Amino acid sequence: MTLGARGITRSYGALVAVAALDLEASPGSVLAVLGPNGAGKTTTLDMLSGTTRPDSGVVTWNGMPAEPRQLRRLVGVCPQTVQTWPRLTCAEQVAFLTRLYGLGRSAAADRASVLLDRVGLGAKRDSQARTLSGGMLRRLNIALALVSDPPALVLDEPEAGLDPQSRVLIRDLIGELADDRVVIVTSHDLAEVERVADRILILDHGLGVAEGTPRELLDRFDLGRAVDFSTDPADAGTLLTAVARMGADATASGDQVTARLGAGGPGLSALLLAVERSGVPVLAVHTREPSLEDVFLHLTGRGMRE
Amino acid sequence: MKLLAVAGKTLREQFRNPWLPLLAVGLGPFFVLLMWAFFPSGGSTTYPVVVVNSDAGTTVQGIAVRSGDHAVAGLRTLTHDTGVPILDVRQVADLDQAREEIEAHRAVAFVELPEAFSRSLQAAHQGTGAVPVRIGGDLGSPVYPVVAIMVADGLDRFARQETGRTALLDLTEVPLGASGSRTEFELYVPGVLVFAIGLMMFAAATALAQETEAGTINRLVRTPVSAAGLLGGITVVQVLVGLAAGLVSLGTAVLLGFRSAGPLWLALPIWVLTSLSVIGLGLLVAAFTRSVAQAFLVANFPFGLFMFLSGTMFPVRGVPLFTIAGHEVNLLDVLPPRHAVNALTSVFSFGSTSIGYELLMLTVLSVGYFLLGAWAFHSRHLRVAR
Repeated sequence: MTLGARGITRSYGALVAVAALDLEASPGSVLAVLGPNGAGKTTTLDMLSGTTRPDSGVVTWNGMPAEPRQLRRLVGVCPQTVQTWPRLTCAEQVAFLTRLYGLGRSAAADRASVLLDRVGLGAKRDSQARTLSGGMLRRLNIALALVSDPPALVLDEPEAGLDPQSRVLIRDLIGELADDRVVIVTSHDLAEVERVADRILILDHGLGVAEGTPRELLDRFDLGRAVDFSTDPADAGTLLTAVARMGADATASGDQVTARLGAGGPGLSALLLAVERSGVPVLAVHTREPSLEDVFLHLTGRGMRE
Repeated sequence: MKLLAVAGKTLREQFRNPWLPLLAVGLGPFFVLLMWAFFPSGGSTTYPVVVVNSDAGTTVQGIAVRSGDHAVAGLRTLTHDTGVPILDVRQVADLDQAREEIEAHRAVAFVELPEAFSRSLQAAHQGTGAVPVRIGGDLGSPVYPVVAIMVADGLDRFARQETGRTALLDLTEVPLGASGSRTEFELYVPGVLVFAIGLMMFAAATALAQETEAGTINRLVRTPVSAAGLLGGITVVQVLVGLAAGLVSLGTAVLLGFRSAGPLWLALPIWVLTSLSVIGLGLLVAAFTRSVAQAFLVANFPFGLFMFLSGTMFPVRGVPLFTIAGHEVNLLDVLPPRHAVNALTSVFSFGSTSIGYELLMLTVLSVGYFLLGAWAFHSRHLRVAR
């Protein structure tokens, strides 16, 4: 079982949302699609789930081109916004959707019980959705995506806005679901993605700019150890200039200036000396291994997106 | 089965958030009650009239005669079949005061009996001349003609009785069906019944708009349920609510004394068809709105058109276009409630079962409106990649 894409492209007027994208996902691992706002993540999910037809290229199932109608049957969708019926109970929502897939009343009720237990909402089966907490609604959102028992599931920002307990629960659930089906998630939370995803696809301006496991991405872009300097935000610009003058790949964000130690750049002692000579008071210094966020920012830049 | 699943889910939602359906079902009877309260005893309106009685009187065989006073008393004796007086007659001193009363909406018309009223009547009795009487008021007022006719008829009867003259025309009024014995309350009932069903527009529009607002419409389009199954399931429930609104309103009217000259069951197909057209407009509203609040706001426009231009609330002449097979086709005939009110009036007031033309028009228009609404909603919210 694989869900894939070969050269899928989708434009909206003059805007190319996704350009010639290739990807492949299979059970046993979670593929995370990352990208800044407007990178094409949602359009990619829409094409993979049969909501939108690509202008060119094909979405594939088991290596064979699949039509949108077929994909809608094969791929469950858990949207970013919670989409539930506020006045129906959890069990009624799941049973109602299940009946639309052709199951009888009692089979639908059984399926509702199974699914609600699976997402940890068994005790809330008779509660109306409008009475549930944000975390519970997210889990109900996932349960509704699973009513047809689809062999593939795409989840758009499934952990957005959740408390840590709910995050852990949903992360574990996603891991379990990936055991026997294709699972693709999008997220803005890179730390969370490192925990939940086995493979990562980074999109920017509709293009796939990198793909691999988190380790592969870190190794491939060999960004070197990072040195974070904390200073007064008013002095960050001066400090950045001093560090960059040493030939270091450096960035500033708020009260923090980050410089990379690596091939072609200065060593740690040279860097510290340059900072000292700049006269900028530094409040704290620490070194660390490069993170996925560093790779992400390296590939997509620090400029704000719409 | 999918249609039933959608209908079951919609019904459940309506029960748990019953304000709109209750409004739709409850407003009809409320307005029936209101009409009944406006027309006591199911009765009829009494129109206020002021009289400037300048009659100086005359003497006949040594006896003083003041025919003006008798004429005023005669106007006061005019009554509806229910016994309710037709005119509330008050005397004022002069025309200036009469004008003030009319401008202040305390009177619909004035009658001026001249100083020579009694003398003229006596002369007419001897076969010469006519009796001068002036009547006036706001000629633009819709009730003025009714009052003017009543006053003229009352005075004419009095004058004929006093002079012994016979009328030149021997008019006989022939009431069609049971219209002769209809109370005003009963005349308003068909319009109120259609109004009650018209309120369904809000329930239908918001039922669909809430699917759009919550995003659940996106879930539904991914399932194998067809647009017909989805819209059909929602429509079935709304039609049931529409029927309930009609039945509760009619039941209330009957309890308050409403009598139908024709078979009541004929109202059922009229209601179902009217509901369909109203739901069609609800779909149209839902197609172009993205939230319940928007839908509620926008629905006021077609609802107003439907109710005020169709003759549901009051008679509207419209714009006659042409005639087909003896039926005048009016521009406003594109509004289904117009045919619904006509058909209900035919059944209730005239006892007529010959409502084929109105039913045909209602069917064509209602199916047309429903298909238009369904197409618009489908195009805007249910279209998926093929």
